[in-house]
Amino acid sequence: MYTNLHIAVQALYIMIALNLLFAVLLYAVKLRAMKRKKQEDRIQVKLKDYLTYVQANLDSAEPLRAPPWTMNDAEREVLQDRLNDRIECFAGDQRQKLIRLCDDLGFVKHHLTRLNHRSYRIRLDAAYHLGCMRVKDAAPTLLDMLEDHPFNSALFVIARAAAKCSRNEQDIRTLVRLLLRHNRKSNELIVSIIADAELDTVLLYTDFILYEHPAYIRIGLIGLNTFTDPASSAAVYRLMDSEYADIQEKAAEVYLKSSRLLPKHVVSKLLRHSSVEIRRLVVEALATMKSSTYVEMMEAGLTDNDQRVVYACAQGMLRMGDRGVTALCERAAASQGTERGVFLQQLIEQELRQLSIQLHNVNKLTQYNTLLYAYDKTFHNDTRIYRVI
Amino acid sequence: MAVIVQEPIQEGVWQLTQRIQDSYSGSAACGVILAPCASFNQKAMEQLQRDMRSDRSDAASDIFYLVPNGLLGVVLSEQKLADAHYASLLIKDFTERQGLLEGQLVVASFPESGELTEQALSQLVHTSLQTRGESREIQLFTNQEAPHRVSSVLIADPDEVSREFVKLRLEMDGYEVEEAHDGREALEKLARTMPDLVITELNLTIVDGYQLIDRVNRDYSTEVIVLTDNQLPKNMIRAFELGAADYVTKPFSYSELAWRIRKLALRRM
Repeated sequence: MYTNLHIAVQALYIMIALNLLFAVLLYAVKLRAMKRKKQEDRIQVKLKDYLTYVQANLDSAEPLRAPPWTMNDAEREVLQDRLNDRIECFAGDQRQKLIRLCDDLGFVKHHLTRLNHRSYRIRLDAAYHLGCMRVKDAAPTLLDMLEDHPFNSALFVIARAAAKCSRNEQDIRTLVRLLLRHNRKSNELIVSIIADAELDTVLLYTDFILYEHPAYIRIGLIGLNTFTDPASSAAVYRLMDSEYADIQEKAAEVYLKSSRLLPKHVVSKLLRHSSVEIRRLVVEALATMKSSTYVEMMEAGLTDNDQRVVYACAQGMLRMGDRGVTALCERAAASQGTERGVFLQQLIEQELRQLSIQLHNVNKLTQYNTLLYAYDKTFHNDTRIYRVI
Repeated sequence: MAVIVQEPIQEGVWQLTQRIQDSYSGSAACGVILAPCASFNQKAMEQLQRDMRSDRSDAASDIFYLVPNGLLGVVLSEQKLADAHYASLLIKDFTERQGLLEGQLVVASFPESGELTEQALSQLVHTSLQTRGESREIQLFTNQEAPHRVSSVLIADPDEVSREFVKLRLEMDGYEVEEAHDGREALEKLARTMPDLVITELNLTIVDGYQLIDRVNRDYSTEVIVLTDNQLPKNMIRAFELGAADYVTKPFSYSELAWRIRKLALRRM
């Protein structure tokens, strides 16, 4: 007779068997990983001297030579990884020399063959390695791989490889087009991928900001933000009136960074901009220039409706030398009794406290003396003060 | 009857000098490799000679065994450091396979490794004998002198590849180098060794690069060069404001870094 108890016992046996099976599997995986680690450590020791030879002779006129022994597949794999790390770390001739060594070792040919393999996993691995070795011949296949690739992390692995292997500006344009097809907000990542291309990208970014498509404009602006190119300031100027707030801010940021001299009418216009972020950026840019020419503009900024802009203005003026500090103290004294006046006075007093504990630094000592003199002169004008010059 | 007893080291240096004199013309390079070996018979020597010839090392090589010191010596005429270094890989592979290697191989090539003098050769033999019983690595010998004002360097970088590379190249140029993989270790070594120069990454753990620069600037007369992945101008400005003397971004070229160190050394004079 077949009872429920029998079913329970059988289920128990099955569960025990499954448990045992999984335990064996887990143990096998663990053993495999340990064996692999041990093998990698052994190879690492074997390759250590060879890698020292590679690093020590990166600048010599002679090309680097392959190890003087026959390597097995595992050794080749470890050596490829170590060489990849070094290619990423070094620039110029040293990088080219390492790439040539990879070619001599047959790594380039090997991975170019794997790039056309049936298995997607192998193609992806080959793409990564070819990218590290900057193999220009791989660029068309890598761009083809991106054509119908779904949006996942592997897409960016291939894209980065394609950027590293890119032959010209056109390859990068195709790459950006393929990545933007997914309509995801990954503009910063795209710019970081483009940065891996061994091309001059300033012109490309300057061209992108002339596009109608806002995604291209965003990429162009993010890309230009890493350069200080006065030529780009004129191109981004018109984007400060864009219909998109984020483009306005990015454009202002690039403009302020790229311009060596900010015309007063432009500064006045930007200080009246509807975006608080832009007004704050302008004030910070003026403060960075530390030029007393802009003290009057900064004074105007102290009347801004937004407290963040006022704070940035005050902080900037504290770093603008005698004129900036005096103007700030006078403005604070003039608005005594108001909420704004209290805020400014507190800021000045806080700065005095901060500076007073850093007097071992000559620069801080000078700043402290200047600020204390201006403060006492403005707020305690009934007391006798001395200034040591 | 007078008995002349020569010290084994002096004997080794004398023999090595004789061998080098035979193949060193003064203008061409001359590679020297020394390896502590238990014994090295004629048969092994012929086998090694054959292996070296088959491996494109067609330049004249003189292989000998310094009996009193237990050192295998190889003199490679007209071989620059790169070739001598490569030949040492082959010799190491051979001596290890034969179970003969007993310490580190020391490689030099004159004049790349410094001026060829009796003192340099004596130092070479000493270095080689000192490594007996230690690991079986290849050591590059240098008799170069670092610029007077900057001779000791501390490298603080969590990236092993970059740290090891800079250390190796600076040591080849004659600098004394210490390394640290985080900010705390860097501060400890800074206090202990008082180096002339600190080369630091900004992205350090525990104590970051900015804090390290600030501390160095406040408490030491050491110069700081930043070698970092951070390429944004704001990072550069902050580093300079805190007192960094120079700023190099990765990926980098060692020639550029070495040039900046030399420039810094000139400024300190």
